[in-house]
Amino acid sequence: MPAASAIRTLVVDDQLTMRSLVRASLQQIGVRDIEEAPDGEAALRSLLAQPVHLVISDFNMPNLDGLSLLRAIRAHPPISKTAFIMLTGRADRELVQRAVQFGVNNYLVKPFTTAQLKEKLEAVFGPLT
Amino acid sequence: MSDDPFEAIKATFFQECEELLADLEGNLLTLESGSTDIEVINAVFRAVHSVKGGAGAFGLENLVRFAHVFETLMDELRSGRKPCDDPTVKTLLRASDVLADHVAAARGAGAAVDPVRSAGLVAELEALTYGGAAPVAAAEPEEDDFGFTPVAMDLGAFDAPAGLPDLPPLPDLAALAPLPDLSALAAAGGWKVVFRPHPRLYASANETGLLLRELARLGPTRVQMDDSGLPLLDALEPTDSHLIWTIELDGDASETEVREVFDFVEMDCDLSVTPLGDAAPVEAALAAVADEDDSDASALARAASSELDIAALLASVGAASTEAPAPVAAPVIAPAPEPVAPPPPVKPAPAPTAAAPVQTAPPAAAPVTIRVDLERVDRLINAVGELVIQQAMLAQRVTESGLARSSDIGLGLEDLELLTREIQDSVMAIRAQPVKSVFQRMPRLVREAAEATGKKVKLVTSGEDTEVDKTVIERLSDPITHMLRNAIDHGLEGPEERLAAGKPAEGTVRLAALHRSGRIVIEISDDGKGINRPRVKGIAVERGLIAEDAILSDDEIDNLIFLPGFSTATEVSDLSGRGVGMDVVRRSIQSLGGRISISSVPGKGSTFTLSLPLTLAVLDGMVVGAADQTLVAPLAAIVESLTPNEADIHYVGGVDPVLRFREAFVPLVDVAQVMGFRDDPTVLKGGVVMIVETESGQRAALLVDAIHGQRQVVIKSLESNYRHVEGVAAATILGDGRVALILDIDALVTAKRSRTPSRSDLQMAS
Repeated sequence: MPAASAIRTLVVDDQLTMRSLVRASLQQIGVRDIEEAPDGEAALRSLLAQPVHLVISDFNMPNLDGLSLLRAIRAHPPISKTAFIMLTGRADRELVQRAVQFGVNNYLVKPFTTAQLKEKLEAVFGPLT
Repeated sequence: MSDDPFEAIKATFFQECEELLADLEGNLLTLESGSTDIEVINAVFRAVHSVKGGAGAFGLENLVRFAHVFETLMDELRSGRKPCDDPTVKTLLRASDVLADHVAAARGAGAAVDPVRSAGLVAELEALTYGGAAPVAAAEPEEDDFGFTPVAMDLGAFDAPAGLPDLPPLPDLAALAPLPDLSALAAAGGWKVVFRPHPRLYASANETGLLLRELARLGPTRVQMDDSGLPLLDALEPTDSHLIWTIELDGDASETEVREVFDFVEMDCDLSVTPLGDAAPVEAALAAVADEDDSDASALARAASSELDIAALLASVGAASTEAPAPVAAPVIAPAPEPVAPPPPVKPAPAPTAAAPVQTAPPAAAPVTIRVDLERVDRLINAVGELVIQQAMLAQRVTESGLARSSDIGLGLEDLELLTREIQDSVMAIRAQPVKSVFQRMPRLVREAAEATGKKVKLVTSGEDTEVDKTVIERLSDPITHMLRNAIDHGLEGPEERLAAGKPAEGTVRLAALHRSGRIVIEISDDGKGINRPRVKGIAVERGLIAEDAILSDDEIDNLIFLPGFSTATEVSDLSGRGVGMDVVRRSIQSLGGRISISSVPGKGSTFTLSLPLTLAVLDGMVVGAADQTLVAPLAAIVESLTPNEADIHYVGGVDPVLRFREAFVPLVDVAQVMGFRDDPTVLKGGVVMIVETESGQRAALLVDAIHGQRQVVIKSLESNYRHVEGVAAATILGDGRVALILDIDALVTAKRSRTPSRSDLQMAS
């Protein structure tokens, strides 16, 4: 049972509001080590400088969108096993299906509650302490 | 989600909304000007999408609904399913206005949204989205996803018979495996070092040869020297540096080890250390994705090159991701094509520098910003203001105590003064903001004004990046709004009248900001009919503002519109009037220490010029004495000072004194007398004269008893502590703790000219 506080997380969203919301929810769950990036490219740079266990990323972003970020991560062996939860604005079947093909670990539809986020984390990492 | 932390985030959201709405409008205006750039359309989509996303998180139902309809149309446009033509863009612009209204309403800042207008636009947007037909049924379930009670997106529940593939488990991560050590990885391939010494490096007795030898101890090196910068012998400056060295270092030295070689000369050279042969990690990762999409040879070549064009790669990744999904099994680990060598297996870190940053070439430096509560900045500015006063008081005490300037305390004090000045400038810079935030509200205003008057108007803005203190910016909005409305309502003619006058049917209103001699100048000009001088004069006479037989210059007639009581009911139209005359605009500008003037050419148009101080917090002033009073004259207005000769003073009509100055006569203003400190006529003996220039460029000579010196003073508003006094701009506290009035030069000169100083006022204030 991994401790929530042990999960190092990178939150990627072009909106400060969304990053803050995810961060606040993560903190409520007990995740302490949280990095942020405003777009896919910045996220990739951050990951390659400092790997994390989990990426929570928006889909629609400038520079590099969430799907491309996912693919870039999966294609780059040192970080290819990073867990990836996609944030989507709508339950777009096609989008989620593609994300799954590219190896997404789970997804979360905005707006979400802290409980839902926790559920997703546990689906990926197993029950958290 | 309504716990406390979320309230703070909600404030962030509204702040962000403001930026998003501004971007939205800017991009729509780009589209309106004929651009069909898909990136712009995408940006519009993202802005609306972001507003909606945030609004959903806070349960702002009406906002989400409207944004959703807007977003749906944008989605059609960006996919090319619907054309982004001119009528559509016009509708989008109006929709962005309504969206802004919804945001304001949700924030509780604006009036309630006009439901008819909102519903009308929803209908318009839907008509554009669905081509006039009723929304297709498919849109319905999507609305559900935005149910304002959060949707529990259970994977199973979402999974319809067609089914989503199972999500891959994460065996490695479930136990939170130690994170990979990337620093060791990147170090493995060797390094390319580009080293360009500055002349200073040689001047401090360093030698390239020694550094290169040091580097060679880390592994085999290949050194290249670039002498293309070497000038011909006759132009050679022997102490200059002309050579650039490129060193390829093999082996497994870490970046830190390489950089350590240059530790002592780092400040005296340009140095870049990049991984050898292979692309930098980010580029490599992106390349892998790009290749997957784009298998042609050029992409492979590009990926192999160490000079990867990251922009091109990003573009190819981006383009591909909007296409149909690649038929690959999950999860995809890219079969790395040959030229992009997969990073070598991870070796144990060679040096105890595991945490060394891997990033070599720093990414294009995006400005890093933080958001700070304005109140904190204001507190800081106030504190710095007090610091300035304290510093001045201390300096005065030290001078009074008879300590020499060269004493330790005197010198220390001088440093303190420099430091104080620097702190003050830096703090003021924190609060400086581009006028963009005001300017970008104006296109909407112009659109609405044009609609209301039935005129065709084009707004041209310039100088949006001109910076000015935030407190000034906040108070610019109302006067600019009023004057723009005025220009459209009264300045511009209707289309027919314009065509008849040989002008294009569409009128142009210009809004410009610029810095001029320590002030910010805002110009609002139109190419309309100009001021109707006979009519203005007629009204002024009718209202008893001027005598019937008054002889006024064109300029003076134009400026009559600023007189209180000039604006009349017949002048007040729905649009620009609102019962506020130009005199109110002028007063609000004056309360900021600003001026407003107008120049007009009949048939060609009018220009309003606003000039404001850049900050309302400090002022460079000249401290002067007049009849036992200490006053401060703004330094910006003073041209020079001199001791006048009795012979240079003349009297016009035997009454009004003028001073002969550089072969010209300028009116002489006895400050003490005009301010009401002294009733006697001008006493020249021992007096000093300051030649000042008013905003309109007019010169005058101010007579004072003595000039005490130049000082930076902290402005304390007289209005907020007492009330407005003609001839006085504000007050300040001097080094000795006394209050001094800051002179309003323009008002003084005008008061002198019109000989109507309200003396009782001045005596009360002094």
